[in-house]
Amino acid sequence: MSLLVYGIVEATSGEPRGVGLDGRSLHAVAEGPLAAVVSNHLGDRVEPTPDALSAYEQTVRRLMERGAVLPARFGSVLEDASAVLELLRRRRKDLVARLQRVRGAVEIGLRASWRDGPPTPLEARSQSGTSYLRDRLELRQSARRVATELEPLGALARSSRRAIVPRPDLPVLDSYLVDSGRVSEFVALVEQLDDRLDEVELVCTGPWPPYSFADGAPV
Amino acid sequence: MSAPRTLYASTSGRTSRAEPITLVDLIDRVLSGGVVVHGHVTLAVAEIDLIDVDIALLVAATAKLAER
Repeated sequence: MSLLVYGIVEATSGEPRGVGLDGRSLHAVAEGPLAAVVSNHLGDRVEPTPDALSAYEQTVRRLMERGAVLPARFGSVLEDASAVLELLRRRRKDLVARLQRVRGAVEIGLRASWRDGPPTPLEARSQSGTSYLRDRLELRQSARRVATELEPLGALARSSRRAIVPRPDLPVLDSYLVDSGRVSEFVALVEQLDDRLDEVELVCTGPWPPYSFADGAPV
Repeated sequence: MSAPRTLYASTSGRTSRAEPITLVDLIDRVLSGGVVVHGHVTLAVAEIDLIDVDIALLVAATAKLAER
């Protein structure tokens, strides 16, 4: 029986409650200061159906409500408990530091979308390669101007991640790691910026577990 | 599908399409965020394996692709 990993928590969090995917009960595999929250899993794959993604997210969100958590990427299946222990041993220093940095904070997503469509529509089929690339560059430049307007948000966050033009209709897609106690202040500033910016509409989502701050570049 | 509550959706009155949390928001995080453990991960849709790699390589986030 393999194990599906939902997230990494502090060992002091105790046994997790509730269920994970397919109603399977959760349990903790602890090693030193860390514990991985897992459920038994048949096979080595997880189908990313909307229901499964939603159930996974809800499970991780419940973990966040009990304390600091580093969500695992969806579909993280390890072959057995010893593989989980090996993960916790091998990455102990990094995971402990990341847990410390996300403790007491939540992730807030911010989508900036063009109110009236992209200022430079990208229509590759009807253009030459050169004009397509020029339009693409102009779109990125417009998006960077939007990003500059959003800079005050960074001052209210512990950390942030940014994607410029992840889709033509989205000039900026940000994730912010915000102290739980500052979320209202953060949202109020988004509201102010949304009122001020004519080109884009801003929408916050969350609070999310810190998916965007659990791995990759240091928080 | 239940989703996290929306904290905020533009209240300025200029919004043409007040969009709640979408599956894309969820996918952005759940599939392309999170701790990448070392292990074997297969994501399958409709019984067709889309990705079958060591997780250390894993799925490139759409956002990251777009940054290139």
